[in-house]
Amino acid sequence: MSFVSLAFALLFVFTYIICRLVQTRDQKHFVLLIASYIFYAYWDARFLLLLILQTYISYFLAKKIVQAETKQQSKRFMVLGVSISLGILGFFKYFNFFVGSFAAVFGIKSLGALNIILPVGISFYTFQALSYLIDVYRGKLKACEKFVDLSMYISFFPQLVAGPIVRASDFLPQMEEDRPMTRDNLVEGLQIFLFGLIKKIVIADRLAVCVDAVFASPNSYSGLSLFLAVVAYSIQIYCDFSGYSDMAIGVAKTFGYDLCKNFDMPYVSPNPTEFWRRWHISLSTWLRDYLYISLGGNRKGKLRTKINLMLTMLLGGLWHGANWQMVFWGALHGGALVVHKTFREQSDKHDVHITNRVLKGFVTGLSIAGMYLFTCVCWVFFRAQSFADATTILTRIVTGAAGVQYYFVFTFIFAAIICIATIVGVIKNQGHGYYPVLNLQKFWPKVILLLVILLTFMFFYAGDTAFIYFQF
Amino acid sequence: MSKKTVDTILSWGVALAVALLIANAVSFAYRSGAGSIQRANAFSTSIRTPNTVIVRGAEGYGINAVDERGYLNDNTLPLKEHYILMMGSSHAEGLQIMQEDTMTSVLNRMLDPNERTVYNIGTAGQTFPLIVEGFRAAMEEFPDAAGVMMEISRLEFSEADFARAMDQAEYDPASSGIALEQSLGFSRRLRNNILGVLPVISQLRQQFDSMDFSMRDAFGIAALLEKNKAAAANEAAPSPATSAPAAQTGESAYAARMNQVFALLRSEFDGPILILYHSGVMLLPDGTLLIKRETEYYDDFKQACENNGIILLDASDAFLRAYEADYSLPYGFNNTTMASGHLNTLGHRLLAEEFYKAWMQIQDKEKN
Repeated sequence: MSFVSLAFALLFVFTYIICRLVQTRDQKHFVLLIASYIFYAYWDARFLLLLILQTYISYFLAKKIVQAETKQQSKRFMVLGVSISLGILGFFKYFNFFVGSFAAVFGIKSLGALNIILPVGISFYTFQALSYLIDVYRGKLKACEKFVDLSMYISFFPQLVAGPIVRASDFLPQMEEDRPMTRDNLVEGLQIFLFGLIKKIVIADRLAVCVDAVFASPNSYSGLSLFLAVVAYSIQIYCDFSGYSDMAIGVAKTFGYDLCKNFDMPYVSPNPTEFWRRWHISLSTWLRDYLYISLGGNRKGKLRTKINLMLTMLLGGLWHGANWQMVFWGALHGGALVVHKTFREQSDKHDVHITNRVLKGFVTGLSIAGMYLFTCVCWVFFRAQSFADATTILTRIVTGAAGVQYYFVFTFIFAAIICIATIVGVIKNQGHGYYPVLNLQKFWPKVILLLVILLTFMFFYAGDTAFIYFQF
Repeated sequence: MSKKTVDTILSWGVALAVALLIANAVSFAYRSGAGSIQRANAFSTSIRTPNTVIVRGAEGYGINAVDERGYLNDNTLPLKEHYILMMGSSHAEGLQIMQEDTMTSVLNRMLDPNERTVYNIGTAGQTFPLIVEGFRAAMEEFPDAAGVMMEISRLEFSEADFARAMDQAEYDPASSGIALEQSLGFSRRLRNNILGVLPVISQLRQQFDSMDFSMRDAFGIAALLEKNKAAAANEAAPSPATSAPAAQTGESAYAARMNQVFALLRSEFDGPILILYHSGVMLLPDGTLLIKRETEYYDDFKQACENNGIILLDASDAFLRAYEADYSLPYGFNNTTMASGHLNTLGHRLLAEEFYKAWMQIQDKEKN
């Protein structure tokens, strides 16, 4: 079930009303669990069985981890749980990719491919289940006594299919508290939801019209048109994904829960390290805490740190999709992180720092522009249909190739809006994004809210509204 | 009800009114003007509300005037004797571009206004079968026409289209735009006036209509049933050998139908009839432009035109030349996509040029 559907509106209203009517916290959890299962099964009821299986394995093995008599034994249960979860993910998402790659490497004509349907959101809920198991193993978290509680954490419908990837250590404690569903929460949550909805159906879906057309036939368009399409894609993927996160955060808020921030004006990042602190924050911190640190992090020397960084980003790329383009996309970002880390080490070592304020501002501006362009280059590999298409796009942009001149009006409009919003964020909130929640006790905020709703309805794109990150 | 509640309701009501006014102002510039009036016994089944201005910004951008007959024409051009009728669909109507750029306006600038004026009766949805169906009515409504130009983008003409088209409508003067506007009842007139000053209503309604509220895909059941149905249909499908003769039969039936259609047009009007076929185009991944000509019908269509003294023009070469010259495309806009949708300014100009060249050849022949 998509957030942008009548079915979701109905589910939300009914669930909200019932949750307001129930008396106890357990009853509320149960209602939310049922709603989450309906939400998920709406795509394909068969996927639900897998979700329940995944949850049960985590529930069962976490208990075993806690009950284990020795550390060695509990580690075995943790490894078993992680292996099963990754095995399920690996089978559904990567089986054909690995079989195909194996066949290509060894020159085997064909090993055959299975007709596997990728369950929606499997990458997201698997990572949530893993975080629960590992946190229980690390002693950061108690194992859940009730299956319903763990099920609700893993399948909580606002963030189930496209994040944010909520940590068990962040969410389960909230479930143990009384989280009131107040009028203020409802007003704030719905405004945040609307904010995300605008990003999705007004901006991202409209830009998809241009992006899809240009990326389908890159040889036809001029270098400038291709460059603008890449810019359009950078805005589209940001608004699509962060829009979904905002909607998830808004819906969770109405039920009294706080989900973590997932995006924080990523395109103002002056370097790759900063970019990954602002882009898909829940994934990058997950990878840092459960993969990078597990690999040794920065505890095993400079070279090993860089290898760990690269490995983390390669796997991060693979998480996004089972193909070599995604791996390459991860490698580009990993490479950039390694270069930036080395640069920082050297500048610290030789104590090279800019002290002049004007020069510092200029360099920062230049770094932001450079980082944005680098991110766009990476997006080309992320979005193009093949490596050949990606290189064609970049070559045609660099050489200023002649072709169809297609300057999509909305790219300019939305780029201007994003720039203005970013400047406001930089000035008003020390370089960080924030939700423009209006005080509806006053008259003009009411006008603004109603006008925004009307304009959204007037200008939303009525075509395909699938979220990009659902495929991951 | 407490005073606080009343104040809150009032405050929200006023806020909604202010928001609506602002949104309405935006609508005037984006999408406003002229709904349609349905009619029978005439060339088309609908006309635009006469004497209004239409603004459309969703695909391209156009500000167009509707004349007193309900067609998109610049009223500064008087409908003279010996005018040429421009028939066609939404392409000819030209809501996506400014009025001075439509093929009719371009032709009017090319032709000597003292000799000929082109009058646009292009109507959205008026595809070729519907043009044929209303042909007699059009010739009765415009008896002084010296020629007919038709813009068509599809050649398909099914058995059902044929049956309907041969049953020609007789023109009823009560169906003209002027008569229809005068006969509008109070409620209809009021409705038109409200929609005229509140374009935001039409804009919201159009968006609402485009929304998909169905839940047919719920729980993957429909997909599963469809898959099973497709599998069953595959098993029951006849072998290719048995379906081949049917295709051949369809082809010859089409030729026979088109011969009858064009004979009918010729019997209704003995002046020059020019049909300009402009097929869709597609940008291929390797950068070439594909002309999507309907080859299964084209030869039969062309032959039927020749048999009945009708001139068939084809815009394909002009489209290809424009693309080869500077990658210009006849369809698409910078606020939608290129190579799809309606004719853009260039497309209208190319079609006008093709019409003009063919018309001048006819003139030259007449003079010689």
